[in-house]
Amino acid sequence: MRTVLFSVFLFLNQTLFAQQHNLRGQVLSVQDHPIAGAVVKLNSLKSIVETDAKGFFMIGNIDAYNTVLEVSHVGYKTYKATILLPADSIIKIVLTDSINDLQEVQVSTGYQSLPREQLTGAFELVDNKLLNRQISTDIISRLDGLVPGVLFDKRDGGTQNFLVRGRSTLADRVSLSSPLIVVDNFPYQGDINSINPNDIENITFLKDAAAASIWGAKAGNGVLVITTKKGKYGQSNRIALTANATWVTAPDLYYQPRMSTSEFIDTEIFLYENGAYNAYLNNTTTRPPITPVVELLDSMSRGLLSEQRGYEQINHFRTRDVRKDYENYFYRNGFNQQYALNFNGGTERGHYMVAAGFDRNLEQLKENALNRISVRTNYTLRLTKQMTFDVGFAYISRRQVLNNTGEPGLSPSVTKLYPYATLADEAGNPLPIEQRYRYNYITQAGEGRLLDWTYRPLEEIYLADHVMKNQNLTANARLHYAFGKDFSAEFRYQYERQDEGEHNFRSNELFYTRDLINRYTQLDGSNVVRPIPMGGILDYGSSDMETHNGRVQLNYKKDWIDHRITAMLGGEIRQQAFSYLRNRAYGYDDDLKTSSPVDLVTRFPMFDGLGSSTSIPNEQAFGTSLSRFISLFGNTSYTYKNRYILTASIRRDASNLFGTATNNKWKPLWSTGLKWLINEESFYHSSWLPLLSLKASYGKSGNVNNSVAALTTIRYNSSPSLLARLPYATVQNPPNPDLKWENVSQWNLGLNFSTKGNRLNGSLEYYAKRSTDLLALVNADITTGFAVLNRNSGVVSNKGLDFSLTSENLMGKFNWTSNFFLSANKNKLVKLDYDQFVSASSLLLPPAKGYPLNSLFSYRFGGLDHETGDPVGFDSEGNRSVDYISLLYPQSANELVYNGSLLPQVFGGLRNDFTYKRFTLSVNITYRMNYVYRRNTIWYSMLLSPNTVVGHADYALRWQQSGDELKTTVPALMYPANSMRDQFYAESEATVEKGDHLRLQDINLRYTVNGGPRSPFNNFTFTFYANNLGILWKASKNDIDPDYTLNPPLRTYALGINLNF
Amino acid sequence: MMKYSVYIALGLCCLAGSSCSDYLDAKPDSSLALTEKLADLQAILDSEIRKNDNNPDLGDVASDYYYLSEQSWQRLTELARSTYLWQRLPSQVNSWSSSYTRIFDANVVLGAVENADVGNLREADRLRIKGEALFVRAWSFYHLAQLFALPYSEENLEKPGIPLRMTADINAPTTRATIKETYDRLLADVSETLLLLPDLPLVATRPSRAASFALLSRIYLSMRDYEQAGIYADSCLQLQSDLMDYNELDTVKTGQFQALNKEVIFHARLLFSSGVFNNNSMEVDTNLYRSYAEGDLRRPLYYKYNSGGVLGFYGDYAGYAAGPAFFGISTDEMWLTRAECRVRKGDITAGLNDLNHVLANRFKNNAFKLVGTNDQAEALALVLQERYKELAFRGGIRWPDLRRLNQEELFKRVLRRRLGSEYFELAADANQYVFLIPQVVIEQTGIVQN
Repeated sequence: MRTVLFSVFLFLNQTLFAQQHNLRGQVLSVQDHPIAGAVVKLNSLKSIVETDAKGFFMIGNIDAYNTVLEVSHVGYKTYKATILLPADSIIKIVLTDSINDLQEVQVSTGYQSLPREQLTGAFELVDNKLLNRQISTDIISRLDGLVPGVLFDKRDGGTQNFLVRGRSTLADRVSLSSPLIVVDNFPYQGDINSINPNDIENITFLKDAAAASIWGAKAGNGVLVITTKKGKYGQSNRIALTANATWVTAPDLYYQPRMSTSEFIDTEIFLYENGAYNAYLNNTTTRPPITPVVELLDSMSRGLLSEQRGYEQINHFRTRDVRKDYENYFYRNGFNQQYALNFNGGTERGHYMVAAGFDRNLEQLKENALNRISVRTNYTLRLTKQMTFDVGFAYISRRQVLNNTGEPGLSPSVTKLYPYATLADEAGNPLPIEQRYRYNYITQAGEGRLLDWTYRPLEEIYLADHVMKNQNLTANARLHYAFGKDFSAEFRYQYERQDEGEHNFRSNELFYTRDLINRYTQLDGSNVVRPIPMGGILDYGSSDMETHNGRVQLNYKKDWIDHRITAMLGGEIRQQAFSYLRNRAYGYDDDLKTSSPVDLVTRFPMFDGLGSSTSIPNEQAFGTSLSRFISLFGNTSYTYKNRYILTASIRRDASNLFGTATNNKWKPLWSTGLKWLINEESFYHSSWLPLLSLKASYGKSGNVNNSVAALTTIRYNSSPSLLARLPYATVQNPPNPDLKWENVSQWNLGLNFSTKGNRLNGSLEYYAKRSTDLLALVNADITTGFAVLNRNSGVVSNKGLDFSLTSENLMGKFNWTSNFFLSANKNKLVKLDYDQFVSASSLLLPPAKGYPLNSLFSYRFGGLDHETGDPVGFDSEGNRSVDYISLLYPQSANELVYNGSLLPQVFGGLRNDFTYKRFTLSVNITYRMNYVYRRNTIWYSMLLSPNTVVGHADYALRWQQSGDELKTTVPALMYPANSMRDQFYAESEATVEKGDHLRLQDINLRYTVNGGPRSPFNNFTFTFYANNLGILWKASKNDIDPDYTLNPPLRTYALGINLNF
Repeated sequence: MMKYSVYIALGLCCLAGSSCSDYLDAKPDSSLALTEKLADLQAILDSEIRKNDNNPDLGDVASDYYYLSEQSWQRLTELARSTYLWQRLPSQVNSWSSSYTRIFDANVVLGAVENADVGNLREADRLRIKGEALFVRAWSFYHLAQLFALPYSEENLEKPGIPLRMTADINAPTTRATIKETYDRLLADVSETLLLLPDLPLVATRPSRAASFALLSRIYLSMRDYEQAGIYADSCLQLQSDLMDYNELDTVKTGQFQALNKEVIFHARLLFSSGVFNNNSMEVDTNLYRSYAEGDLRRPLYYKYNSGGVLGFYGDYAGYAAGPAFFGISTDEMWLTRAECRVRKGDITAGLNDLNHVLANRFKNNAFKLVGTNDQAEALALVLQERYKELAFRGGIRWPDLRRLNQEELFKRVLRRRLGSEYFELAADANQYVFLIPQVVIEQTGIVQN
């Protein structure tokens, strides 16, 4: 049933009268790599030659006209064809892999590598070519918009969170809803972003139960299997060199609409006139910071400054915008460099791969950088006919500089600066700004006997010394032994170690250190007593994680005429130990590497009574954690007459999940699947649809949530109590004897087809997932001592479709291929055993059954009141109401309006690849439909409190006089503000927007040159790549990108070069 | 070859069998523990954040020893604004939840203490730890009863008290006990601690017999059983009676009062959620301030003006710099309780001796004059006035005092507040003396609202 795909290009240049001919040619692999050492036979001549290192061969003195040429090499299908002589040009011969020919794509589950046809589950393979379409430092973000059923959730501004086939857990922690990541057969415990994407050969998504349940209790959210590059038996030595440069545009600080500086200053004046700053201005104990406009107003009212001078100053501030300073002094365009080198090759007895990579990223925050060095290597040796031995090592070292901590705040509790702050003078010199204490207090406090107490944020960036280092070492070995033809046994072991170190040295030039020293300083007559010694403060910490994985596996495979059985049985044991320590040295001298001891017990008075007596911060902490898993698993597949395939798998997991009764630790999980290759039936004769198959599967997998326990657990605090200096602990959770692991069961039905010549091929899959015993954080009676409790209480269903279609639109000189996919997901909370508190604020759990998780509910909005500009709602009887307490706490979800899902329910992409001569253009357009988001608006209660942060631009649209309610929905300003009124409007229907949009995700343009016989290289490629190019269409008129409600997407442009020798 | 696979299969079975239960019993996190050892229970009770801090401030927000300017009032949250003006809005959840969190912790300890391993502590510690937990629970019940149940009186005995949660089981239903049941429970629990606790604590963040006597005295005071209140105040003072001599303090500098000073019997702090208790917004009641005589050192030590002329409180016994925070028990309170109870009993001389002992430590040495009278009513008024002056701005005292004194014809009073041009009043028998239970609790448990 295999057909060998080959192509022969003959560039004939006939010479009529020639009698003796030379035949020259080059033997290449499908990937265009030259094959060295291939045996070339010309039967008429009975001559045998071998190809050279670049795959070239030459046979001279041929006189026959019709000659059968045979090219063979281990690991490749033998090529046989009749050559018409004379052939003066170089003929190209492409050999296909004997194991992996194109039709027989091997899919790795992490336990087995199986041909795609034999699988009954839902797999999605992202091959090397597709992975390399994008240029990035990490691997995960390359998968966005490419894989059916895989949805990236970018609501929190990250690029790493994704869901496979909908959300199937109620846990709000990302780590509990994201899929299991497996790298080269074992779960990867380190930071996945540290892996060099150039080392990766392909990625497989295991989406349904038949695919994923072999991973058991951790497979409930799907599994992502990453396979790194390997050499091949009998393949010539190859060298690949990659260099990429990526420009990341600086962040758009004007993305979030914000009220103008002038409006903000008017608000400050308003608050000042209402006496809101009195408590701050007159505070002679804790001396809170006062913004410059308020200081000017105060000076004017106390007659220290003329009105004219004061308002001149204030009007000057009105023209300022601190974002300009941030743009100039804090941010830049990011620039990422990436270099990678890969050697691989093999003989009949073994193969090898050595890869090295270097990345250097200059982050958008000035001075911050990331360096990464990675080395990865693996060797496979066929020791005897029965025994194969593999060994692999990977080492990754990352160094991150975090000197720029980003936009400063006014005080520890106010995280932003007022909008007219001035960070630098005209010449760019750093200027001090208000910080923590009132500026005119700190400039005179201590009469010169304290350290400088002013804060100059720009200076800090260049004085900081904050570095994080991370090293990851992975070593693995595999011994495979074949007992005759049918049986084989496999032992695998992997060791992974990750060390992380942090070094944050703050010399006493930095505000943090100066401020801390000053706060503890006591001026006693002429003595200056400093409980915190002069010098810097060094925070240092390290952590190490060590994982051992062991696996024993028995494989059985037997073929009869009509039957084939493959089976696998194994056991696995796994331990992950983690420990960390953190500490701080005071009075640290970075040159001498010395520090001074301090008294961490005594409560010292604060300078000038600025605060309560406190002991010196103790930053010492230690901790360890240990998790252990034992698993048993088995998998079998039976094929009858090459057309009916039945698969089954089972797995049991046990772990040392804290406090769980042992009987609950062992959880059996299983799956079964069926496939029918219709086109293999004798009655099937369709010539236009030569490939047609149906499949179905059902099974169960689990989800482990380590954060809850069945018995009452307490957590010891790392430092002693504040006053008594005694060790203390906090109760983590109440006893929960009913605790269970989460269960995910899933149906999958699939159809695969391909038309004649593979012009159109695709698949359609339908799934129905039901997650039960979900641990939900449900509202509890606070009288129990807990406001929320984690309980196995939820049932969630996910139903959906994944459809993908690949079409070869044009073939020939101009080649055009389209890849289209569409995924639909309907998520629903089916059951929740506990009453849900009804409010529009809950973003994960809907307030009622029958709605999706991540639903958006709103308060019914009745416009603004004609007289007052108050937002109006509707009470339970449907009457108009401004009683915000009862509006915010409705009796039932019926009183709220359901707006839709916060996650797209329909999404997909259309990728078009065009090839013309040496150029390839690939354009990916993605779409996300059927969802909503909530836009931000003005919160007066936040704006109208002293020392606040600048409010939303909706301020300008507010109701100001009767009649405005016809033009705007933004409520009138009200003082004193009512936070419930703000919340009611902010969570009402008025702020809901549709998210549906169409996006030009990225463009990739390539120029490929194939080397000739005399060329030193085999081929090289130039790439231009641009990502996040913009929205082509969206349903909402709001300017915010529906997928990036916090920060705008980062647009990147990259240039790359790839050389293959 | 079949032989090998049998061996391997056997090996796998062993892996899954006996040895793995030990393997899987390993503790997953070094900072996590079960409530198995006495030391673990002690550690729960030594959490200052949960045990000593976050005592309910509702009653103090509604008390009369301070006032807010309109500007300061405007900066508060709606619920704090309404509490200040005695408008009955469903109160903030924090006062309720932080108390029941403390009660949960105590119940965890009480549920485990009998069977816990001694570990590296001693058997005697088991009794002490049980006593501490009983104290903490009773302490919380007492304060909840002062906020969410009617004052103790004969006619109110069968009215709803507070939910008495006696178990850490989160599935146990929440119901309201009667007022009689509430106070019976309080007295029984605190009395039991007298057999378990040491006379004086290792550190005043932990309860002691002295603290238990003081708490019993407070409970009887709120029940207006002045006989018993006086006896227990006296028992407390037998163990701890030291007073600071304010003459030794500096009246100019701030920061004169430290946490855990020698007057502190039990250290506790109030919740800061209302945002009221800040020296630069909250101002001392003018009449209260005027009532301190010349030479009374409490005037300069407790009260100072900031640069805007706002008179704030700087005499905090928790050592807090920015306002009042202390919510615990101190010896001066017990001296004044004993004084009141002695006077009420008719022992005017002994009562005034107690009062004079306190005042001698509060007045400038050269300015102090003994107070004296033979008239019981006059003496009582004098003691109550000094009690107000001494204990204003100590959390958890003024509100119960108002509730009990309003039941006495002689001392009942109407509280008044002015906000801008508006006036607000709280009558002595007003239902605002019982706060509304948070709406979420009513919705989730169905217990009756006040």
